[in-house]
Amino acid sequence: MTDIYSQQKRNRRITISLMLGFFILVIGVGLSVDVYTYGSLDFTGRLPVATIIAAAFASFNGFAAYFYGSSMVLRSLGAESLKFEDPNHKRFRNVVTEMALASGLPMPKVYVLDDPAPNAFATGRNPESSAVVATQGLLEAMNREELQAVVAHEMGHIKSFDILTMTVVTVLVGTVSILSDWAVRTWRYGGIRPRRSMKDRGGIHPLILFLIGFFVLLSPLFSRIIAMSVSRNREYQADASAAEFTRNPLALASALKKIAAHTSPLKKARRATAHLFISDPLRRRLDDKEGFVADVFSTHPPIEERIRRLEAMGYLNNGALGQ
Amino acid sequence: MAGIIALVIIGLVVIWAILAYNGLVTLKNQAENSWRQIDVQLKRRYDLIPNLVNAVKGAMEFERDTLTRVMEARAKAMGAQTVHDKSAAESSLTRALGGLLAVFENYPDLKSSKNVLELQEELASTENRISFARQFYNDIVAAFNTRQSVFPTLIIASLFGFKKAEYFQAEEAAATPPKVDLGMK
Repeated sequence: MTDIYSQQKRNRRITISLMLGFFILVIGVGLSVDVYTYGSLDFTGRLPVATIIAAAFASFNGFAAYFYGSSMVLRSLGAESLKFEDPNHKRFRNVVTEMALASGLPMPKVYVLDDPAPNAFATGRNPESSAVVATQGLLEAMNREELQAVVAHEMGHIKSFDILTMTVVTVLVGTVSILSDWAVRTWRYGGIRPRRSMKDRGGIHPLILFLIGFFVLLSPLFSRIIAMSVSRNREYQADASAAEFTRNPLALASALKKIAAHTSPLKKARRATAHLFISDPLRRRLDDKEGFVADVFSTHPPIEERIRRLEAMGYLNNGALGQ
Repeated sequence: MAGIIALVIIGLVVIWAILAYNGLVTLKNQAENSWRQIDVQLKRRYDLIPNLVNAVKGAMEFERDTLTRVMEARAKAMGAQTVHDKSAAESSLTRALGGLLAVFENYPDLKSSKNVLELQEELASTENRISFARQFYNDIVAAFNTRQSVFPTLIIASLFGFKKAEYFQAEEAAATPPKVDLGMK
């Protein structure tokens, strides 16, 4: 098990490489467009307009992903503030306060998703700007100790700066996925046939074709990029942090069992946001498999394996206390 | 040449001393901060207790002793000054509260009152906050004290007069936080 400081360092490193990779990708597209229109790499006397636009777009997007990523995620999933008439919401807020004390982190903002599927996630760029979100279904299904364990798991993601990586991945990959979805749709429904005005000016059609082809190729890659940067290991590490904060690994095991028993997917979750949650909200089959393919393509480890590890920790604890 | 080597060694030792000193100061500040967190939660508990006692007083005519015990323990805990006294006074308060919450079971009227249920949730949460804040504080104290007693940081610690911090002891088993859940979901 790597300690929390190396996890933090790793997450900062991954976030920076993701930003750089995104920047290079977008500028590369811009540059190819310029090379295509001007016919060479020699821009003397001419402005590489597409490259400049691409650089502006990439900077804007990187900036937005870092500073506004969590609000974008919260808005796109429809997170709502707590309603204190509901005793469940009050209890949730109390439990988050308790876990903030146990982890020594500042109090995160607390939101609820109105969905019956029990699930939870955390987002933000650092502990000071973090937010913890649970579905209404989770608040209703869990007892106090189980809720504590789930929130402690999310505090683990916050403390290790997993939230930074996961949020930046969501926004950057989300942007690329919007572009590639658009490209795939254009490809399918014949939008690539040149309109008359373009045909008259000539030369633009193959360029658009190139861009569309590029994003169509990118589309299947995109799930893989998420899965690779958000390794399944994080979930095991956050589970271990939860056990450390609550000193009660069995509570998380029983929470995961309840979550696994609920099979309907979360309505508002998308491919781009799925990796944020404590358990895969899309209920993809691949998650339950072990091995290389699952490791590369899946965002969540099999829930049975997580439960097994937590229960092993629990028995270890009880054994130590019994002596 | 020997002079340069000596200078480099002295430089390294000075850098190490600065880092070791800063590490100790950071831990000391963390310990003080987390102690303040416990303090905030203990105050919260002092404020909640009179509300709870007032809410149940009417219905619990026959438990006057239990209620008095809670109020007395509270007064004593509020007066405690040192970490050591505070630990002792707070654990007897926790025990007194546990006793009060246990006799609750005999009063079905109380258990169905919304006001009392809310106070119970707040009190349950406060008990948890105290025990989690204590857990965090004790972890920091353990790290701080260990750092002071291992070689070579030991030298810096004694040179600058660092003192070991005191654990905030929980009565009975430290591993099991007080249960005041009363089967509430």
